[in-house]
Amino acid sequence: MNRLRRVKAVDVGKLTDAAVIERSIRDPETFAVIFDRHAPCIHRYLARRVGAGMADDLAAETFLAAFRRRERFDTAHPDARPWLYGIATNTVSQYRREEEREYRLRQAYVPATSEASHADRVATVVTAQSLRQTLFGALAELSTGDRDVLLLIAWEELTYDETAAALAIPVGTVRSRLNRARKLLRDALGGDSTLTIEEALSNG
Amino acid sequence: MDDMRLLRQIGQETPPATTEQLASARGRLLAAMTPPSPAPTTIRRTTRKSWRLVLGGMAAAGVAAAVTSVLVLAPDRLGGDVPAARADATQVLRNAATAALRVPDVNPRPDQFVYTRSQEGPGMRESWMSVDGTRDGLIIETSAAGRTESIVPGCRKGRAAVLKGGEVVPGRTERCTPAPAYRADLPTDAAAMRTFLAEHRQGEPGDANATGKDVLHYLTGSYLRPRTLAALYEAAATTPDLRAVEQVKDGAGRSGIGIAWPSTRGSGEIVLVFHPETYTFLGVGGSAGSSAVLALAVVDRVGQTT
Repeated sequence: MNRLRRVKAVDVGKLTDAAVIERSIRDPETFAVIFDRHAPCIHRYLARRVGAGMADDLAAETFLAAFRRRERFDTAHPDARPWLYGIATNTVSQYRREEEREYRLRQAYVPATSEASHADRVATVVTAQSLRQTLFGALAELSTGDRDVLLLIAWEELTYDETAAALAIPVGTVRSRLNRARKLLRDALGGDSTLTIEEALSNG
Repeated sequence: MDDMRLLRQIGQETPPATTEQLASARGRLLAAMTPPSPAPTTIRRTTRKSWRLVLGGMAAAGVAAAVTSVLVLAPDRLGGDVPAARADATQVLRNAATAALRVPDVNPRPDQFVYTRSQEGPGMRESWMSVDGTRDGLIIETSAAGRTESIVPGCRKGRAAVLKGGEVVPGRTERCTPAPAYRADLPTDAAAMRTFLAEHRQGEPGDANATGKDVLHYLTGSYLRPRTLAALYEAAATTPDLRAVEQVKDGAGRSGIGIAWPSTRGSGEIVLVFHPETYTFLGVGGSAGSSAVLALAVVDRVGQTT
């Protein structure tokens, strides 16, 4: 009975992601808890990669896919984030061209959404126009596998292990991809831009 | 290293999504959770679902914990009854029935709304439900994860707006039957109420826990006038094997006397919590979950709380 489920659902807020997902197999609506917990960050991850415009849609796709696959979630992991980031990354991979276009766009300007929230601190780095050019240019150049690893770690603050779980690759591969991506970034930033970086950071 | 730090900084240009930004994605997810079904069932379920939302959030049109001039004031206390410490379940429910009859009678007009504010677990819920079911109502749920507003479309001339994720889909309607927040047709004496409950039971005959949920459904699903409410408590008092639980807490942490409805299938005991002195209904406690009624009023407009 629906009423019974509803009454029982009240304590879901205290459960781990794994327990919530397990429960949602019998009681699908419980899955909304997973959305409420993680959608803000998953959406931001998608917005960072393909722009805020597309992120709404891809966030919906990500959670719909997660919902459909919830029975396959490995409940040995209490935290659903790596799993969700994996699905989100998969979703993004179908929009590689859009992603690269987003980076090209952002070489030129700071997205409007950031004005209120981040303002000055970001602006110091960001106004170093050449630096923006270089960073976003390098992101657009990276191979997708390397970029996935780099961004999950730098932007989403996943650990190496979580990144490995998200992408279903060994931790060793995470390390080697991260090294390769960072080398490419550093090469792009180049020897003579060190000064610019130092200036930008000390101003920030 | 500098490259990572720089990268992080450009990442910070993008803030986490707001509730508004996420509304459409959440709507699509919720729509996927309830698969479409043939028209006639859809109607039933739609009606039911909006009720369930109300239900889940609160517990109890029974009596008002904090009310206004418009409505239903709880009596100060009942003198001379059985002390809470020795109370048995039947007596608690009879006291609740007596208390219900001391609450001023309010006869809602069809164009008004039943306003409830309640706590469900850590979340808060407010709802404005159309007295006759033909006006658009509203449910606002607030939790740590954010705030959602869901319109409850009124059913007019057998048609109601189609909802998707709490939002009205423009230009689309579906068949419906009105779900009034006040039911004038409910019995007003105990014997008739018993018959009514038996005829409309959701569980198996003899399943006390299911009966408890039915009682809770009427308590929380709609506004009940004093005589109906008293009849409901009197009818409930005849359920076998009820147990009084002292010092039980409702969803808002308020202590009261609980009535435990034995569970035959291990589905978690439902405990209705009553104020230890006034015998007004406070909310739900026990292993099946908790909730609390914080306010109840009949108001003229959606958004009005007193």
